[in-house]
Amino acid sequence: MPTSSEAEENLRVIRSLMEKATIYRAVSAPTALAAGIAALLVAAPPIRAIFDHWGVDSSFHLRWLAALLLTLLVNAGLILREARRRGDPLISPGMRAAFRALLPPFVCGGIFFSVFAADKAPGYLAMFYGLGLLATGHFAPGSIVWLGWSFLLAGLVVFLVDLSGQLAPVATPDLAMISTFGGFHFVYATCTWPRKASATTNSGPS
Amino acid sequence: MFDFDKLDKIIHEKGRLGIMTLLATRPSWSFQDLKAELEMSDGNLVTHLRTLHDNGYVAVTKEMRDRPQTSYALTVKGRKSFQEYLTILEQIVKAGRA
Repeated sequence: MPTSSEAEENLRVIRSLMEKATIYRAVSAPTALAAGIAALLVAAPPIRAIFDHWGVDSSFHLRWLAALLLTLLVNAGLILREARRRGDPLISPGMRAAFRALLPPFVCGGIFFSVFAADKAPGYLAMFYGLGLLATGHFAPGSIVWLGWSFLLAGLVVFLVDLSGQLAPVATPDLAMISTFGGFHFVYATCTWPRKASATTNSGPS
Repeated sequence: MFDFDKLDKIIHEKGRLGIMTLLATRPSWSFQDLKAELEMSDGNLVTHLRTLHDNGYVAVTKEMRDRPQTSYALTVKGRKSFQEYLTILEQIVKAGRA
């Protein structure tokens, strides 16, 4: 018969394995890389020139909406591929939980981003995006929580600096977006890129 | 008083306990995913999975996708035995604290 401490140790191992197996990473390293590249693309002058050449509105909001859609498209493709590889349903319980957590802050962020002018939008977007990532914290790996805090704090700084009227002389809205949306995702992708081909979690694509 | 002799000796082994735990979290697991998560050698994992399969705790599915893939899932008996095992562990912990 096992002792009480052996039983406790076994229960601890079971709990830890279950938690590890049910972790859901809402932003995978390849998605983050795609977000970083998309950020650079939509802010690049040649791309803006192409928008103008085609007679497409190259306003700040439309270009960054395009970056977001591009990132979401890449993420959806990666999730689909991973689900097929595992033989799991496309909409997994982890994805459902992430969606429920992300939806309220993302809807609010979307509304703020759409309503406010370009100089205000980067701060609001970073704040709500950070809040969304933090809302997945109870089933996300620590790196997502770090990413969430980075966005939230950067968003608050941009917001406060803008309130004091000091943002415009220092940074354009595009530069603020490249630094936050682009820069943070690049750093995150570098830090979390799978080191081994076999390293997996029960998550979005990794 | 709980009968501690009911503790399932098949599950009560570190490697097999890990496998049963992971299988309880998802409908099915591929061999490669189990191996990566548990950091076991192929031989060790195969041996434990065979033991669990022979005792009716684990079902095996072999599929041909891009390449052959073997996946594992808990059977009804396996899930029930795992739940009973957890219950007994909890009883042991409670008894130790009493």
